[in-house]
Amino acid sequence: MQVDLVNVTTQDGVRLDGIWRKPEIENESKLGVDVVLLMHGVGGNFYGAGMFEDYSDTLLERGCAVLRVNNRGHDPISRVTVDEEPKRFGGAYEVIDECRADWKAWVDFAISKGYKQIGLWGHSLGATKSIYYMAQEHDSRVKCVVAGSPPRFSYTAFSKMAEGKEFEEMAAYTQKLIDDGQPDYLVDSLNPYPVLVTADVWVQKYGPEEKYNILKHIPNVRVPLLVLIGTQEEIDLMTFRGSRQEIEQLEGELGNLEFESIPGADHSYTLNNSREYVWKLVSSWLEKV
Amino acid sequence: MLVDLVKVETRDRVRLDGILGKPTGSTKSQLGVDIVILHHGVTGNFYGPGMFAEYSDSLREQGCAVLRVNNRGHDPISQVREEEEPVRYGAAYEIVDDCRHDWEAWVTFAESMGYKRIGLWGHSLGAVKSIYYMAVQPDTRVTCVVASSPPRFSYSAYLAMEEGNAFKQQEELAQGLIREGKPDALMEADYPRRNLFTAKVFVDKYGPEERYNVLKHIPKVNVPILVTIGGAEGIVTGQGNSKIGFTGLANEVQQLEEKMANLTFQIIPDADHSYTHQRKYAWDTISSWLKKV
Repeated sequence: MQVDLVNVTTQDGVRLDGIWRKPEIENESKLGVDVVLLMHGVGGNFYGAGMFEDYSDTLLERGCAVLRVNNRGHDPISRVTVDEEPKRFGGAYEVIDECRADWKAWVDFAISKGYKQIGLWGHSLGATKSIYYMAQEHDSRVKCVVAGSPPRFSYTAFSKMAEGKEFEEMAAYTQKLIDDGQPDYLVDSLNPYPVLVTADVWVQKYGPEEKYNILKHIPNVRVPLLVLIGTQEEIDLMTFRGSRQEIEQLEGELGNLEFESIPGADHSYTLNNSREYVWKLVSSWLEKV
Repeated sequence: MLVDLVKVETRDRVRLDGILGKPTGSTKSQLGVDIVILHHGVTGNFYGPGMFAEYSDSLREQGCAVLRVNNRGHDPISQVREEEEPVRYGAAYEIVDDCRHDWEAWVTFAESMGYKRIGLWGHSLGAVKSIYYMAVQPDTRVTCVVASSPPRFSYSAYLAMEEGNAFKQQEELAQGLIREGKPDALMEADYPRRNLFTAKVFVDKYGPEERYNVLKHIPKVNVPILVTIGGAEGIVTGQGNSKIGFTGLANEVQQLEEKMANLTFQIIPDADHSYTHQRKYAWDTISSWLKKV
């Protein structure tokens, strides 16, 4: 598979890599966008196996270019040299708010290549970040957003679940590490989602501030937004339990929001031919956008 | 840069990704190999900036294809799905011995693409692994090996250095974690260089067995091998330099060179571990060796 290996440097000096693929015939996209930026989830990257490998091909078949790219949360732990100093990033060390610099850099790149109708498609944490970016930055160069399974980071909701006690214990443990001067201590957290993160990142992501709760940010997105959640992941993962009903409620209030539940789908859309189902939904939505 | 995004699956079912860059001109390879497999060092990957980004272009200009690839030690911690379950790899979790599967898979890939004269070029831990692979599993499909700055993993040598006590304390910490039944506990190591490892990986790499000491393995490599070391390595720490990984190593490789007809050793004057500011010198040295191989 021939690709253009590309890179950008964010305004805070972080180099990010990705691949750019163009359709055989350019400027004839059958979708409402001429390029889609595919943004991976926590610990992912621009080349790994998964749904975006499949969807890159299907987007190209519809005449749409694809930028499948790293953000600073790529791989569980990654390393970047910033100002001659090696720094750790990746899922364990990233501060989500800084995704704004990553998203902006990639949209800048797409613009510099002549694209005018830019779509964002994030999966998992990449979906949460896409919503967050558009809610905070209102990037008028972006035409639409597809948010595939964005987890809801809600301390209040997690505390009320069956696993609430373990979750609150983890919250207390990570806060104590911070209070003891060890914010960078790595914790293997099981709740609300199995992930390796520093204490500081855990509290920022899952703590009582709820800074990245998508339910707060979705209403601030001004462009057409499609949110997808699998019915199986609602059962499997704390980060999805109960969020469907709340997003459906928002859908009733927001003219630019469309919500789709994916029957039987797990978080990676591997069960019950979910990938195909999702592609049909997303592509027909992108046609109309 | 237009390349082919490629992948392999190792015999123990780890998916690895990489890029294949074909020669930029239509001329035959000007080197003694028609493809070089570039293997990154600890925490590296197939796409990051650095010497291999530059040397990929130089090799292609010489009519030589380039496979720049991940091994399972890519990035500080990486993740692979095995039978639907996420499994951690990367520098913190990799057992160096498993690199044999990675190297074999990529050589098989190169062969499947029709390349017959295959060179390996590893940097840092990628150089150690290239030597280890060819020593432990002599692969007749490989024409030659370039090992750029392979650190020496020698417990006895480290203990004898001024940093020996600090190193020993870390080793005791790792051994203690293993005794407590926590082999996969992560520890921040400062010696021989700053890195994050599990206790098990620390002992496997740097422990008393000296399983991956290049001085034991270089003599078992049967193909032409070029070892390069930066003149500044072993002198300073920082910027990727490991003082104790290289102190005295150049002399020992030089001694091996006198005994081994297939070994060439070159110092890259004033070069640090990444050959910063000396990339051209290193390229001239390596490319002229590759022309004669």
